[in-house]
Amino acid sequence: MKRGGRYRLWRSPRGLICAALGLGFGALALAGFCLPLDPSGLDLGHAWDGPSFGSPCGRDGLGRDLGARLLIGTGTSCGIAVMSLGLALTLGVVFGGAAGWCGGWIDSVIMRGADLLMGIRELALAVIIAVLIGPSPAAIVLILGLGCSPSLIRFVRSLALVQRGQAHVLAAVALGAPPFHVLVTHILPNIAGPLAVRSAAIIGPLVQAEAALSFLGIGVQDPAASLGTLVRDGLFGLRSGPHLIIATTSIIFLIALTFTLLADEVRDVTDPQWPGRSLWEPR
Amino acid sequence: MTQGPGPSGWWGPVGRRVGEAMLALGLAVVFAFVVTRLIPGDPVALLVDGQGGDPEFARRLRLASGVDLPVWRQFLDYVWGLLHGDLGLSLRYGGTPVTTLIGEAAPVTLVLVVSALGVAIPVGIAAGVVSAYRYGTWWDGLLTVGSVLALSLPPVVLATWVMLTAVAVWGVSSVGGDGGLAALAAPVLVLAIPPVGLIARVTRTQILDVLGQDYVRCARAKGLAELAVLIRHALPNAMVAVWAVVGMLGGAVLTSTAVVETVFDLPGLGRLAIFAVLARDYPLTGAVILIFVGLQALFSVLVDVLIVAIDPRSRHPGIGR
Repeated sequence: MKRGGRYRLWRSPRGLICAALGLGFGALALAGFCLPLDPSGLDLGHAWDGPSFGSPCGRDGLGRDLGARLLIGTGTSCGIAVMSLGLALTLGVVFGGAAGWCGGWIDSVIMRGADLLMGIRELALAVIIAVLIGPSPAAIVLILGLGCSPSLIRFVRSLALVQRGQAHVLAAVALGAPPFHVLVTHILPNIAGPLAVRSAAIIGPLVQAEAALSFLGIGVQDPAASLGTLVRDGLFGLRSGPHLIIATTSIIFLIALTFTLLADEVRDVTDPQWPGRSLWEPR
Repeated sequence: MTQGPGPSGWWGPVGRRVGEAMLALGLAVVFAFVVTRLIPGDPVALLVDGQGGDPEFARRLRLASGVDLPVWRQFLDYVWGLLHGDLGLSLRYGGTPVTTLIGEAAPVTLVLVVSALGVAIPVGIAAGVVSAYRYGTWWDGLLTVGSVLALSLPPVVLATWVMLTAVAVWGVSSVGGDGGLAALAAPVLVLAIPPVGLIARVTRTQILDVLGQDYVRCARAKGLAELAVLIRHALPNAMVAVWAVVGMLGGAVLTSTAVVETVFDLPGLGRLAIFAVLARDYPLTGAVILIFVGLQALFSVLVDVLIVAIDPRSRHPGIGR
């Protein structure tokens, strides 16, 4: 229906910049895991040192190399955000698809469950999961994944409902294709586009949420690093080494900004009827 | 005008949401009970060791708290206590009743959330309306850039930047320590900025959409002043989606208060919740879960009543746009 939509993203300068920045953060995150870095080696003699040749970003209160911790921390935070998104998408496609495809009581049960989960979200969900399985990265993935699954379930269900009435789906069913086959080969490819747009809008807030939860202490635990724990370390050393907190919060801000703009751009490209089209588009 | 299918009037949509809220609360009670039963080993021994370890006191406490009863009986007792405002004793505050702790912390958080939303809603709506009416001008550009920036400044970032500024400029290490109303200005501002960005964006989109509708053209054609068009015709129709977003924001702002209270050292519910989880104070954790789910349920019901009040279509299912 919107032929060439995906190419227009690369043609607009804003989309190109955002995509490049997003890829840049991805590369930064991967670099943290690939380079031979030592994020937890202590060197108390050099606590709160400024930038030097050996540690280009300075050192934290325990003399750990900040550059290494920032790289690994960014990687950890982005990794957790991607895993939470994966969990939410899986739940969304499985339950939303089942609700939309089957209808009837299965639909009712799944949707009531989603409503219920919607009522217990954010901090309440975080407290429940953190106290049940203990503060850990896995807890964060579970909190964030479960937290954004209800809206995704609802979204996939509405998409599946539309697809169920389409001619090619009816034809496949008439030919005797099993439901799972229809779901995977005929419905999923057609809802993948809107789901990708939705995911682009979710990933930024997920990185922010990970930072908030790890900052509060119910996520990644010291000595492992994530953006949240780095803000925490930075807040304790606000006077001695403000470079730590400035660097960390700037990274969080830039990631959030990149994904906000990228989500806008993707929406502008895929939804030409959107009334709130951004300013940079010709009228 | 024909009546559509389904119940018409206030009770259909509002009753449904109240029922959902009740179900969520019921589930929260079960979770809260499970959490209070998580205590490894003997909870009475844990409590009594903190008080000096008197065996006679332990025996009486065991009898009084009923930890020897079967689980279903304990659950009923828990619900009974709940209905009488008794949530048990805190493990980490020397046996202080949990309700006392919650009662001390709740006002701080409520003031923060209510004033943050009280600032964010009017400012966001005003910014969105101006942006839509000045579509494509530098006003619109400024406000659009502003709202994107606001959305990209989570409390973790903004609150630490305020602290950094306070340390660097005034040389103080605490912004909100003395608890006065002026001390709440910085936390409220930090909490309000991301919602302002979101509300402004939604309002702008909605107003732009509404301004293109036939009924707005009709209102203008009959010579109505633009302000009257905005207030009588455009805003009420645009507000439905805006309030739906505000309804989703309540929980998010509540989560943000935990961060803000930690950074600014305010004795609120968010900090109490995190303390309870990290210190494994299970009775307190259970109570915190209940109050968060309860507050969110109350907030979403209130917003839904508001939506039903301003949108007659929601009172008459079956009648579309």
